[in-house]
Amino acid sequence: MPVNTPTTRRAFLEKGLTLVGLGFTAPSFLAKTALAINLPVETSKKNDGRVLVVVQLAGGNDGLNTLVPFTDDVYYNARPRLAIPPDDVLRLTDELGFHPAGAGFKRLYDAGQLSIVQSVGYPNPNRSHFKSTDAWATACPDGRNKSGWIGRYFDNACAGAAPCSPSSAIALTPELPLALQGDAFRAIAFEHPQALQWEGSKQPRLADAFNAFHRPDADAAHAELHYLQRVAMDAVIEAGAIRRAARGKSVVPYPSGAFARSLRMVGRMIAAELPTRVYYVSLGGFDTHARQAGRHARLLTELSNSLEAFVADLVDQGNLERVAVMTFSEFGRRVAENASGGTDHGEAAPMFMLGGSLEPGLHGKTPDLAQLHRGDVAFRVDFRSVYAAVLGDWFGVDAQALLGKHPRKLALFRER
Amino acid sequence: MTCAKRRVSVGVFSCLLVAIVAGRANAEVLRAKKDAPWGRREAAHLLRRAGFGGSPDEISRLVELGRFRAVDYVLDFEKRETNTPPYPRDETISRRAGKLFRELPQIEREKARKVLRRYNRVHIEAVRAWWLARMVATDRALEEKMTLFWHGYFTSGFREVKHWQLLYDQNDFLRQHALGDFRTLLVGISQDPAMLIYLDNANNVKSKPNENFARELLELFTMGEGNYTERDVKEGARALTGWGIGPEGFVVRRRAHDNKKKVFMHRRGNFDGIDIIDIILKQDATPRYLGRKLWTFFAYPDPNNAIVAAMGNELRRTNYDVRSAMRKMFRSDVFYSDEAMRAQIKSPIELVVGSLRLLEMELKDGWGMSRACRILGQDLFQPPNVKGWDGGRTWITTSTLFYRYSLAARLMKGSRTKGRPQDATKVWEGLDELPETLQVAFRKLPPPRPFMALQPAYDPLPTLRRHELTTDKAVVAHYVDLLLQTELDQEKLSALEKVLGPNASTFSIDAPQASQRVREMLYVLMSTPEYQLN
Repeated sequence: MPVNTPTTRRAFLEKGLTLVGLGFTAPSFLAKTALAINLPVETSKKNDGRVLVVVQLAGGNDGLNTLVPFTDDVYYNARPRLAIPPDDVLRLTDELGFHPAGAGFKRLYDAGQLSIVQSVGYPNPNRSHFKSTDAWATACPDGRNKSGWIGRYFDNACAGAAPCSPSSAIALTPELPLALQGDAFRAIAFEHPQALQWEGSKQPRLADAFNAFHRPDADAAHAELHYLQRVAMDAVIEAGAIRRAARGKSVVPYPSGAFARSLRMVGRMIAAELPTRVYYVSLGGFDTHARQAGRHARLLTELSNSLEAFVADLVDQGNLERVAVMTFSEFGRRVAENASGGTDHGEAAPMFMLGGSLEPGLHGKTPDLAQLHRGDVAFRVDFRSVYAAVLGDWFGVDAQALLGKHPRKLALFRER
Repeated sequence: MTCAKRRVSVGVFSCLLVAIVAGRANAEVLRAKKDAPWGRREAAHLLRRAGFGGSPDEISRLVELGRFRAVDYVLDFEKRETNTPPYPRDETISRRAGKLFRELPQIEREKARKVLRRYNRVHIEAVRAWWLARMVATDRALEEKMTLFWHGYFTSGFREVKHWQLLYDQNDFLRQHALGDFRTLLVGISQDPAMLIYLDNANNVKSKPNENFARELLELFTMGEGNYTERDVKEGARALTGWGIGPEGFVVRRRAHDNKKKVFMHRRGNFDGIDIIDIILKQDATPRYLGRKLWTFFAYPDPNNAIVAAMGNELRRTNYDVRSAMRKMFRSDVFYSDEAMRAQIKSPIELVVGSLRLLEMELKDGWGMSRACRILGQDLFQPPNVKGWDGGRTWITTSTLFYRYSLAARLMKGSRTKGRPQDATKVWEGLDELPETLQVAFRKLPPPRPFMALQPAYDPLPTLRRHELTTDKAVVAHYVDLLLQTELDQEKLSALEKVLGPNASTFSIDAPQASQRVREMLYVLMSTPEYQLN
């Protein structure tokens, strides 16, 4: 253990969550107490305050055409039209390579800034978009837990007098993703920062009246009104800081498109050292039941080029070491193509990790196309192993408390 | 009679008794007591839920009718004339243009496709604006509200369907059967061209079945997860093979249809799509699922099992007559309980349409208003996914709440001219690069209905004069009653009055800044948590 680990309770409490954020595992007798204290989650120095960026690939990304098994006959026989020709593949190993549209990913992989977790899924997988997305969001495949895994992280991190400030997690999506919804914790969701402002606040007469409706209302008759008031007040408080942060200009060029714009805004907010620990962005369109070839290529181009720019931005800021990006999709797609030039919902697929503190290369196990599960790629890694690594190694908290019993976590991050 | 026979008949009798008792117990939960409360509070609630909100006069009228006749008035809208026009479209011209398109060589088709994409994008915007305008102007509010319900239930999206007429026709179909029989809706929507495209059933063929539609049919349109197996999905998909779209619309392609035996919900047979639907309709889960959806949309979320069972029973009893179930719901005491009152958060459509209706403003800026709904999370003809819109608290995030407030500013000040695209209504782009015959054919296609006029600022003077609102207290009281339809505490009322002027004597209906002050007060009133409640 590093030399300056606090060994007295007082020392630990003084340093509080900052240390937890650095990845030191809190001595168990202190863990519960520290987490129970409403310490501010804010950390704003470089090299402190680790950040997680979650990238949702919505619709079910076809893992087999992303990380291509270009020496496997089963793959080519099952996909006479859709399989990527071996010569087009950007090779990573003797057997696996990227779809040609993933050139950005290839460069990041070679630089050790992208790693891959193969064959990720969960037992008794569900092929419904919503049920499966919910399974990933709640870390609860049996559907019994209705709160998000990241939301629970924040519930736990700030248990006590009040939940974490909403800006601890920011989603650049129109709706707040379930993954960020805790029992008490509410995150912020917006697509453009200028949206977070009430125009009338510039006029005192109006501002006074506005404030009369945005004060705590002890006897709010109905649960919905109470909920609305709480959200409104949180919103007003957080909006200013975020607006200022997101307005900055980035040095590094990003490709065009809404997804790249979201990542650029995340880059600006990280550069401005907002206290936000988790960002969430989404790229949709992966539900390629028909005419997959062109669409999937376009999506992979957008995904890999945008993430490449984001990594370059973080390098420029000197912040890459404290950021981890994690992509996920609700499921992969069937091994066999269908009659519409596409693929239907499947099971396991790869996850991609990006950042400056990763254990590089391939994790998990390559799909065995001779041993399919009902025609689909069988999962070899339960996604909770990945979550456990993020919660336990990256954020240094007790993963079991948040995920329940889970399979052994993967070693995705470099030892500090 | 032998002992065995007697035992059997006793068994049957006791089963029947249990069923009757259970039925009555279920019916109890949706009872309407004779002297149940019926006043402005209840009438306003009915008008909000079964429509987009009622003016003080409409509320008074419904109070006078008493609950049962008020529910009839709202439900039996066919008795009132339609006061809104359909969207102009011409089938024959579309078909002629389509024929010419198909005769083009491949390279020309790409160019033509680009032109058509633009044409469709502009038209669907026009259809969005048309529907919004209809919701604002209609005398038959429940007809539109019900169409909106089915629109989010049997979902289809423009990005996937690509042809505006198909989505308009689907909308028209849903409106025609809004309160009709569910089987007609289910069969019709399963054979609807927009739906056949959206959920890929037009591509579902014997050699390679596509399960997308079969899955959503079971999961989202009829039974809900947990009531069928993966095998049912696979076998259902087989039964639905061969359905497609021809030049006249829906066709069955016999060669693409799987003619072998299927095993669906424990039944065996050479089923086709209609058979599958009929089997589904016989299942217990189906009327309960629909009953739950109706209750959630119109009353409140997470109804208990007794209510779901009662709604399901009513649908089963009437052979899926939606109107009967709605009548039972709207008449019931529990529909007016504390749990239901002001328990919903207005959807973006309810917010926009309700505001325009109550403020008696005509919809002129269809483009701006449908864009606002899109940003707030409810883009007509483009639900976020096949599940439709979750609604409720999901409408409200930090940013959508701020955007709702800024929508209030737009309604008061009128459309902003800055940032409005010049060419949003320009329907043809690149047409001159196409062969002459195609140009002529395309130009004959009906132009989009205009949708980009500017919304004027709200003018409060007619209202102030009509109701003789000459003091700040009277103005605030009137608008709070009109827009919030609930009580506010004195602190909030005073805060609103102060917007009209620093003290009571400074407000005058004749002062030059009176309109502006009222608009500012309304801007604050509509930028509140209270205003988001339904």
